[in-house]
Amino acid sequence: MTILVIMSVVLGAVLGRWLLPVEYMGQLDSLTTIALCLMLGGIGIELGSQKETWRRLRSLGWRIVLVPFLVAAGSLGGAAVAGLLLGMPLKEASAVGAGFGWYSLSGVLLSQIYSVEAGALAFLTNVMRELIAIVLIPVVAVRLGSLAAVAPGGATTMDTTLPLIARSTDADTTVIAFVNGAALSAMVPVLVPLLISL
Amino acid sequence: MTLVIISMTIGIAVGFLSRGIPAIAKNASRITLFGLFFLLFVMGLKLGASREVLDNLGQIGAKAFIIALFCVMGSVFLVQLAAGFIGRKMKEAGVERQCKGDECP
Repeated sequence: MTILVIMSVVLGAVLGRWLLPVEYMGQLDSLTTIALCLMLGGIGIELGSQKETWRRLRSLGWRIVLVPFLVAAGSLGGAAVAGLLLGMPLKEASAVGAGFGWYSLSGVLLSQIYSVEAGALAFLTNVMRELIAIVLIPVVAVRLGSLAAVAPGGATTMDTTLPLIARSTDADTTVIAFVNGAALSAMVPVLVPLLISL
Repeated sequence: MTLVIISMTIGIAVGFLSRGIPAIAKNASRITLFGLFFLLFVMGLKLGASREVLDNLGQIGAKAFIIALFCVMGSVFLVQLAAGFIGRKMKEAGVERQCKGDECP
């Protein structure tokens, strides 16, 4: 999956760099808008049909819904501080941070509705978030505890970093991680456009 | 922006109403994947055609690392701050019984 994602971008970049004249680029826009709507509709269907997640959530008690909101707030706060240090506009930094590790979606959203530079930054930032999470999850689980180990992965805790969390923590935390990832994934397509339009 | 919200809302409504029909979720994930790869490819095209991005890729990468690191630190900080509260609530709810003996906090 990751390989396919990287390959799509690299293939596009190679074609864009050496083959495709820039003049044709504008004509792609209506096509990409349709693709974006279809993709978001599909993501919506997948989120809406996750019966199992909602049932698990109930069995753990509603307090754990705090976790994704804390992760979201921490990410946006952290991105804002990093933006200040780097001298970036606050809306760009926070929108990039609102990818929560979902690099493919945050990258295409920002390059589609804002600028290709911001899209590239969102893509790379969230790839790095996933890599940092992979390195940090086992360390955080030992040093700080199970719940904190859910935090680094962001939206990826429902898929790519879930196996790692399962191995580093316990069964309940794994369920929390899944719910956390699902909730953050649902926030990405709403928060990224919202923050960039501020 | 409006388009994003509308597409998602329709999707969630369809997904919610069609629970129990596996074919719909399966085809939805196919469409999602196709849309995603197409959009990634186009993002690549635009990146490749933009000298500005290509020339600054190293700088963008460094920025990306710093933002990612701060995002992770912020998230871990807030969750850790509330971990006691959430953990206690979880135990009250009768969950998290995996710990044994001196492993319990």
